Amino acid sequence: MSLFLLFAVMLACMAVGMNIGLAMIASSLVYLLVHSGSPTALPLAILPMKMLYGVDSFPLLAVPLFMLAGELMSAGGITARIVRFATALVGWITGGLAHVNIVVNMIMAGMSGSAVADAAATGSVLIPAMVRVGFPAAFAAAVTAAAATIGPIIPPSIPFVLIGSIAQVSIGRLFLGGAIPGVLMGVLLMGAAYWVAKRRGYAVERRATLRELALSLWLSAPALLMPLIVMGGIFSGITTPTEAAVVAVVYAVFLSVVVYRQLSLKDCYRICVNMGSSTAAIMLTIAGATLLGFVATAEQMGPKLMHVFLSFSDNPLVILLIVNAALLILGCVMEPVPLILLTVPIFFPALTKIGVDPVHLGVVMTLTLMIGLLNPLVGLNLFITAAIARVPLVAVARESLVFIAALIVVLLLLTLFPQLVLWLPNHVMGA
Amino acid sequence: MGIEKAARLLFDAVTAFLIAGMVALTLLQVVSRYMDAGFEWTEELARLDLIYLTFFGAIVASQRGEHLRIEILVNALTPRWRHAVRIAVDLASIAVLMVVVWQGVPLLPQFWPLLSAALGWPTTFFYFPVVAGCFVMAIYLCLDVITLLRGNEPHPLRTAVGP
Repeated sequence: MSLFLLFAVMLACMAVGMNIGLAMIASSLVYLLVHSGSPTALPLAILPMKMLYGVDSFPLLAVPLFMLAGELMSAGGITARIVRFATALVGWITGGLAHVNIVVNMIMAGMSGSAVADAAATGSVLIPAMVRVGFPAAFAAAVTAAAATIGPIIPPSIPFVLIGSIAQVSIGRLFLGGAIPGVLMGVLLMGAAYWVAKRRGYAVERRATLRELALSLWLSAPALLMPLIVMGGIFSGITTPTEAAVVAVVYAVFLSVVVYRQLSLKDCYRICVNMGSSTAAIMLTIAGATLLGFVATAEQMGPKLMHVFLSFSDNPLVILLIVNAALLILGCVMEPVPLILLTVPIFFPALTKIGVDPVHLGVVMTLTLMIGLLNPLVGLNLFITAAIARVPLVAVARESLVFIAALIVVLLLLTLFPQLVLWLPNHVMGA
Repeated sequence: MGIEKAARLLFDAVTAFLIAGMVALTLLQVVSRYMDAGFEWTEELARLDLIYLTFFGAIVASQRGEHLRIEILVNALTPRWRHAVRIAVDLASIAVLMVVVWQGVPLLPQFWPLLSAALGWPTTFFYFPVVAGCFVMAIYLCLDVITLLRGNEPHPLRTAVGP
């Protein structure tokens, strides 16, 4: 009953458009007020205390730092260089620039860790280029939106940092766990693009000579080094994810300001303010989620939820599929970050107790939420790419269907075969 | 220059400074570890920086209307209803923020004698941004309510670009 009250108030506040973090604080407050008479009542002072506790975390520093690195990279002219390299590499395959788009996103994924930032960065370069060689604008927008979902799966990844710090899972393991699934996403998306392009006869790029390929590789090498530096630092144990993030920021500033000279100090200031605002929006939600999680734990929510799950089935795979379905539906009304902050404290303790591996769960959950970015109701990726391509959202949504199908195939594969996620982290970091 | 613009520039500058400080502190942490110094205070100060960024950056996000929220249902309402709902939601948000401030203020003197582990600073410094940030956010929401009551939109509801 009390749990019902807690979540009913929260969902009601969210539905009418209250700031999500404040909605979580509001529902906790209502709960505390209703129970203030009982002998085990919690004092109201836990409001500021738990809010502070939630954001007082060193691993979470990686969130603003990776966002900053990604923003500096895309504003600093790095994207264009990576596009040229990818064009030489895969532009000649049937589907041409659609493959280029997907490969660029896989490379960019190694530095920004944010799907929406990737969609904006690659879309502004590649959508006009695709339209110029004859791709329909809606298809170009759909490819970009779908390809950008790879960003948070291939490390580094902001959702993984959030999940790791909230659920106390190794961020390094989550990062490694995303590598194979990310490549799998790229391959299946390219397959889908190939299939559509073959049927519709889309343009291909001229096959580059070996010399041109080598030249484009040389020119984009400083940018391609970034993911190697970040990942190498984390997996060799030299840096923590947070420290790797700061190395990425410094390297991005060096490239954009000193080497490519595309960023002025004024641009850097503007980017700092923007990222500060975006970070605060996420962090305030974390503050609220921590408070809510504390209250829900006091109400024994974990055991109660596990009881509900076990009434469906005692097979972890079946339960994981149910959670996937639930998240796909929730993803139609809510964005990934608030959903992660809301569902991780609820689902993780219950599911891991049933026997789902936390790294497997984290990767599968993130992919599910990324697919949500492609729904026409709140899918930010679709909104952004449709705006760049200047086509109606519905047209882009229709063109996305084949890519959504490809991503759902990846999701099912990952859910049914946990080794696709777990093999690499267990191999590198030990079981 | 109006007071509102001055306040906006001030909070923008504070936010940018906190981001820059975060980069510097985390970098110092990496470098110091490799010079075998391994400062403990960089880790603590970086966390403190993030706490200030959370609650002072939240003021900037409030000014810009960049907080995370679900707009889909509210946007489906007629303009008159949407206007009314926004006023109600803002008033409720102000109430919640003021409860946090009300409960947070007594913590400030209470935590003064308790010193932080590495820096040895009063932990009051950790609680101050929670209280101050929520208070200023409530002020901005009050200004929004006044604008809404006059029949204008303070800023369109939009979502921060996040991951």
